[in-house]
Formats: sequence, structure tokens, C-alpha cells
Amino acid sequence: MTAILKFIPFWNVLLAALMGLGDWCRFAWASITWTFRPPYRYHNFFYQMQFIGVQSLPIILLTGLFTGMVFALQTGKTFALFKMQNLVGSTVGLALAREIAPVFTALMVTARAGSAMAAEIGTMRVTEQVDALYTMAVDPLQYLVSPRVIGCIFMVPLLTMIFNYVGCVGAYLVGTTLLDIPSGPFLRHLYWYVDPEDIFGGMLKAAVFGFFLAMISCYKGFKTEGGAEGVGRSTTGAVVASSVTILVADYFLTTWILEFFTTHHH
Amino acid sequence: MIEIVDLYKSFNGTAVLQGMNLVIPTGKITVIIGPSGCGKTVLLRHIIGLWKPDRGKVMLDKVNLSALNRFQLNEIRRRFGMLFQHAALFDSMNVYENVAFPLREHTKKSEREIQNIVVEKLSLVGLSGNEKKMPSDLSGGMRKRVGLARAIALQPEIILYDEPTTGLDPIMTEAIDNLILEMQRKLSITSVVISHDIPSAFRIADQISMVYKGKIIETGTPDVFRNSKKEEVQEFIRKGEGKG
Amino acid sequence: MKLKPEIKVGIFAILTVIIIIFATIRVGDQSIVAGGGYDLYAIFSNAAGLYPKAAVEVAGVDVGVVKDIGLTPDGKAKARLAIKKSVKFPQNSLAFLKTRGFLGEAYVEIITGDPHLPSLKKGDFFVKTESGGDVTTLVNQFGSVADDVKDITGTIKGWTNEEKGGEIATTVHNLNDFVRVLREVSVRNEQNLDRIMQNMADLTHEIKGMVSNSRANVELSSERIASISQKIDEGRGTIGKLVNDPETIQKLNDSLDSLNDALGGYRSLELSLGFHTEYLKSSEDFKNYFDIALGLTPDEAVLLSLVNDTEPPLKRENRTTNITVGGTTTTVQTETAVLQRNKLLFSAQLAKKFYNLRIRGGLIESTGGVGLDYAQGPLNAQFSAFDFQTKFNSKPHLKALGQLNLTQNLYLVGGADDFINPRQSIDYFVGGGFQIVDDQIKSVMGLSSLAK
Repeated sequence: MTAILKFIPFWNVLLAALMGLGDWCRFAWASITWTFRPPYRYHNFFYQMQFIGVQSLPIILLTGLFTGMVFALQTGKTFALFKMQNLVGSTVGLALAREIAPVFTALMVTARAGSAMAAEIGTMRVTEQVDALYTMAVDPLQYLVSPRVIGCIFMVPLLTMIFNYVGCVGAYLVGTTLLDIPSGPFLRHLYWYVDPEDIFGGMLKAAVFGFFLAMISCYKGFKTEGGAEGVGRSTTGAVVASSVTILVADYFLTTWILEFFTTHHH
Repeated sequence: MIEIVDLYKSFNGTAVLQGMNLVIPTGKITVIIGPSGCGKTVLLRHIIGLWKPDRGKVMLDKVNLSALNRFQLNEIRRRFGMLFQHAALFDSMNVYENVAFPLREHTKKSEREIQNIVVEKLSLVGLSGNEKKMPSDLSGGMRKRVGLARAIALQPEIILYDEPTTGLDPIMTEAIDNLILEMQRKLSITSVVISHDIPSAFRIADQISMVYKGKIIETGTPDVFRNSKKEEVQEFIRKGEGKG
Repeated sequence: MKLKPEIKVGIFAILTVIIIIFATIRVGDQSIVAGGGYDLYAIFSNAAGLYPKAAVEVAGVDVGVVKDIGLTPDGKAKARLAIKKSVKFPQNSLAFLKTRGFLGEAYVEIITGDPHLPSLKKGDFFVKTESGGDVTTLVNQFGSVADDVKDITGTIKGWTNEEKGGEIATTVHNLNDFVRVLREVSVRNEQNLDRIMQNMADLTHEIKGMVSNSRANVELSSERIASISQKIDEGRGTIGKLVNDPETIQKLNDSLDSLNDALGGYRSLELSLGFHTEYLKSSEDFKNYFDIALGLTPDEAVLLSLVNDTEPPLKRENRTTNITVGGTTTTVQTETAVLQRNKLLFSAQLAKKFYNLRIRGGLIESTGGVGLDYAQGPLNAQFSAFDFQTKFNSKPHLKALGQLNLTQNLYLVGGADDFINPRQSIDYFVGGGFQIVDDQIKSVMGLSSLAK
């Protein structure tokens, strides 16, 4: 059987990818089961939420503001051709709520917290601290992975909401000053076209992104081998794999969320 | 009593354990010696269930560790303490927090009780007053002793030592040896020591086993061991004593 | 002070929850929900472009939203309108489907009726509704127009490749013969030509009479045309007046302003007025055109036309009468169909010239359409395609026209109209017309002087 399969081009690459995926699934499942078993380490959980959420606040404020500003500027210039600048608010608001805020936030958290997770757990792995946890009857999945994953699931949506808000503020500033859009029509279109469903759909997405980015980053950290160089590899791998997963998952989630809200909306 | 029965393990096609059989008696110090890369550390990791064997089993008081799921394994590991070769201290925590870690995880003791235990364990390993230091501020020997304090904090039934004296000066080596002996005498702890330090092994061991090419080739009291007929054992003793 | 992570996370969470609540309230349709609105229904024959959450307005003031849009058993669009509790409508109020601007969103405009009548209650229907105008259709057809244009250009290419074959070629051939004969006639017999001109003058007079005798909306239209030409004379284009929407006009004006700014003002504007008539062989009917061409630049122009409709639609009018007999009120609905013989169609197109070729597009005979013209010496061939979403779901309306300029002002036309329409045979037509440009406009009244 395997002899035949070996003739498939890139069989080894395919096999490695499959094994990686399967291994990740087992890892994720084990982490989930551990999450729901006592003891519950609230302090770890809050510490991670603080690290992932509160400490990401400056970068989210900064990127959110500038994303909203630049987006407003670009759409404003284009809409000006049709004398429709008033729609900038709704366009930016909708795009932020549905797509940009969840994806950008998840990518920023990946870059900041995901890489830190991979590096931290990777270092613990190569210095046997992870094994030490095992020997002290503390499961590292429960001790290290659960709080990070839960933290991300809670914090990425909240950061997304902040990104949304700050992005709209940025768009408003650019719209009312540089593009000379009257603030009344700008806000009215924004409030009119953006639905709570758009915001909650975006936050739901963000929660899924949070799960994936934390689980992938922790997994990469866990699979670290070969000292400091290995830690570097894991960190890079975590950021790359998480980012790609976020973008791919975004497509499917968008489809599902649109499907859900359009079939249940009316 | 720990029984290792016909244990096989290979990594990426390289056979490391090739049918290992060993009985580790309760309340005694068993020193496992052998050349580097012979599978000593791999054996130790199987005893505490960090790795699962390809074949064979590890029995702890009639319980097959290899057959347990991860939750049951986690339960049974509370009976163990382990000192890693490089101590494996948590570098995000200071010395106090490292030693207090197992107590906080597994007991409902008050912070005051925990403090008493930590101070006691640290004085036992001769590191009183270093509570606030971070692991990165400590020397290799000090880290090992903190690691030992952490391993014995919960007063385990079995302590596994992975090369406890490697890289230490003779005085520190003797201090660690004495600690291992003291631990066993006071608390009748079952000790498993991985080492290639022959003099140290003869000083503390109740039983010495030698691993060679993935198998136990000799087991016995230090006297029996010293008079072994096996060529490999005699060569190892000769070279080890010459060095030590 | 060093805060514990729990406290930091707590502050953070409270902050975000405040933002979420704020955003949800702002974004939710709380104005209707909070006020506890009531639902009314309006039935439209075509609700294209209308979506849930579209505005319901009275005199430009928001009074509610469109909740959802469904179908009635007889296949019409039924819109549920959530109306603010404080707003009441008398029973004979009207609901219109309107569009804000060329690309703007559709909304429902309500014209309140007789305030003495009782108000509409929850679940009632608006008795009279009117679906959106041509702008909506135009906007919605935009995509399909693009596809059709592709087909048409392909077909034209096929025709032009045909050597002396096919219907068009024959038509053009025949037309050439006809024109040659006419030229000979005109050379030999000037008196006959004078008579043609006289007929044409009479015809114009007739049209004029028809327009002045027609009902208010037609009057309004002609008034608008007059005002447009006046404004164009003054050098201020208000072409948008043709489209019955103030916002569109505003936007069109703005666009034209910016366009003209770019082109260097109105100085280069070139205006021409024209009239021509076509006799349709199959329909046995005259089709009259009043044309205004506004040259923005040497190769860009706005073309406006008024056309009398040879296929007037039946306009249905519903009348609701309440008859009260012995305390019981019976509502009687009568439907009358009126043939609007004097209905006018509008064309408003933007044209751009490339050498001898001119591409135009926009509104043709009150529907979206495109066209392609080719001029060579005194000959001018025109091809138009419009009415893609036809009333009877038939093929688009195609028109091929050949034009021969006899003098600077007089020309003859011939061609085929609506020739792929399966409901009728090909409508060949012949006719003639006149046009005057810029400085001649002032002396437009003296028609006979043009025959020189």
C-alpha cells in the first residue's frame, strides 16, 4: 500500500502535512478536555487575559485608528468621483465590523501574543520545564495551553470591538476634516447600514480566530525541538500558520455567518 | 516496587531500549549506570510515564503505567518526584515560588504552612535565604539543589534523579549524595538515580544496575557489582574510578 | 501602584462592554423599536432596489423603515413598513417607491392623503402605490446592459463583415437608392421640396398643439424642456431636470460643474436643436422626435430627445369608494384602464466621439440603452439598443437608422425599428427632419428660410 502511495508526487510532504494536522487535532482535543477538568487556575487565566487583552490595547488602538483613517481616505477619494462621500461612514463601518476588525485584530494578537506563546512554551519545552510540569502531576496542557486559549477566545473579540470603535473614530476624523463630509450624514449612514448582527458576527469570528491562533501557537511551542534555534523556528512557524489559518478560516466563517444571518434575519 | 518488564523503545528507527528488565525495590536507592547514550534517561522517562514504550510495560505496585490514560497517569505522578539533569526550574518564578509550586498545586495548605515547608526544604538543601532569587541568578549546582527541594516538597514515595551530580564539584557532589542518602533514610523514599559517576554510585547505592546497549547487563548490590564477571562492567568501573 | 491582572482585565472588559452596548444601541433600529411602531403594508408591481431597512419618508422626514418584502399571491411585491407610533396616515395616503440619486438607495415616500379621513390602522394596506421610475430600472439594468452591449457589438461586427448580404445591408442599399432618387427629385423639382417642408412645418405645428393640449404632466415636461433650453442658452446646464428627482439634478449639476471645470467652463458649449419624424411602415404610425444636442467638447456631447410613444401603456387607475348603507360600510374598488395616447418618452444620453465613430448611452425612450453612430460625409448611420427589460419580456428594442444630410439643416432618415421583436414584423421607416445649430437658433421660427 505505502509502496504504491510513494509514487504520488510530494507524498512525503503530503504525509507530513497530514500528520501535522492530525497531531494538532489530538493536541487541541486533549487541551479542550483538560480545560474542563478541575482544578481551575483562575489566576493563570486572568494573567493570560491581561497579557493577551490589556497589553495588546496600545497596538490595537494604533492600528485600528490608522486602518480606519486610511480606509476612509481611500474610499472617500473613490466615492468622491460619484459624489457619494456620505457613504464613507457606512462602508468603513461595515467593512470594519464584518472583516477588517476581526482579521486585523487576530493578526495583531498573533504577532504579539501568539509569537510570545510559542516562544515561551518552546523555551519551557527545550529546558524540560514542560516535562517538570508533567512530573509534578500538573498537566502542561491544562496549565499552559488552556488559559491561553480561553484568554484568546475571550479577549480577541473584545479587542475586535475596540478596533471597530477606534477604526470608526479614525474614519470619522478623516471623513469630517480631510474629505469634508458633514458629520450628520456620515454618522447616519454608519448607524443605518451597520447592524448589530454585523458587529456580533465579527466578534464571533474573532472568537474563532482567537481559538485557532492560541491553539496553533501553543502547539508550535509544544513541538519545539533543538534549543534556541528550535524556539526561533517555532515562533516563526506559529505566526505563519496562525495567520494563514485566520485568513482561510475567515473565508469560510464569512460564508457561514452571512448564510446564518441572511436566513435568520428576516 | 517498580518492575520494568521487557521494555522496547526506538526513536526514528534507532532502537534505544531493547528488551529491558529491572526490578526497583521499595525504600532502597537504585543507581543505574552506563555509558552516555545507552538509554538511561529514556528508561527514567518511561518510569514516570513521560514516554510510552513501544513494547513491554512499567509496573508500579501492580499498576501498569503504560496502560493508563493521561488523567490516571497524572494522578499516579503525584507519588513521584523528579530532579532533572538541568533542574528545569520555571524561569518565570523565583526560588520560593518554584519550591512552593507543587504545594500550591496539590495541597490546600495555607500560605503560612507553605512558607514553612519551603523554608524547611531550602535549608535542607543548604540554600536558606535565596528565596527571592530568580533561577537565572543561580549557579548550576544551586539550581539542582532548588530542583531537589522542589522534588521533595510534596514528600513523594519515589524520587527519580537524572544525573544529580554531573557537572558539580566534588564537595557539592558529596553534599548531594548525602542529601539522597538522608532522604532515603529519614523518609524511606524509593530512589532511582541515573549516573555515570562510579564512586558516587558505590557510596550511596543499595543496588546498582548497568545499562549497556539498551539492556540491563548486570544488577546487584555494590559488592556483587564490583565483582561482576562481565567485561563491560569491569571496564566501566575501571574507567569511572580512574576518572573520579 | 501595581494592579493585579484580575483588576486590569476587569477594567478592560467593562470598557469593551460599554462600547458594545453603545454601538449596539446606536446601530440597532431603536428609533422604531423603542417607540413601539405599527406595521402597514404597501404593494408594488416592482420593488426592485428596495431592501429591508430602507427608509420610509414623508416629505423627506424619516417616519419608519421597511421591515421585510414578500410576495402577494398574484405575484406582486408586498412591503411591510414599520411606522413610528406618533405618525398617522389618512386612508387615501399614497406610497411611492423612489430612488435617491442615480446610484442612491431606494426608499418609500408617502404622500399623506385627506386629513379628514380616518387613519390607517395596524396591518392596513396603502390603497394606492406606485413603483419606481426609470432611474431605478436603469440602475438595476446596468449589469445586464453591459452584457447586451457586448452581444450587440458582436452582432454589428458580424453585419459589417457581411458583404452586400443580410437585411441591414439591403436596407442601407435601398436607402441609398431612395436618397439618390430624392436628390434627383430635389434638384429637378424645388417646388416639391418646398411642399415637403411645408408638411413638416404643419407636423411640427400639430405636435406643438398636441403638447399644449395635453394634460398637466406633459405640460410640465414641455415647460421643463423650455427651461432647459433657456438655461442652456444662458450657459447653465440643468439637463437633470428631465429626471424627476431633485437630488439627481443636484448631483448631475455637480458632476457637470466639475466636468465643465475640467473642460474650461461653458464657453465651448455648442447647442443644436432639431426635429425629425419617421413613418413606421408596419405600425402605420408617425414617430416624432424633438432633439437637443449639447456639445460639451468637440467630441463629447449630451443628447436629449422627446419622443412620442407609439406603444402607449395602459395606465390602470384604482378608485376606492366607501358606501355606507345602514351602518355597514362596503368598500368598492373600480379599476379603469386609460390609454395615454399623448404620453411622451425621454431620451438623455452622453455621447463620446472617436474619429467618425460616436458611442452614446443613457436613457433612450425612457429606458436604459446604448448606441453607436458612424458619420461619413453627408451620411450618418446610427444604431441604438434599449429597453432591455421590456414590458412583455421580449427582446430588446433595436433601432437602425440611416441619415442623409441634404443641407446643413435638412436631412432624410430611413431604417428599421424594433426589428428583433418577435411580436411584430420588422418596422421599416422613412422620414425627414431638420436641425439648427447655435447662432441659427434665434431665428428658429422662420422655418421656410431654412430651405435655401
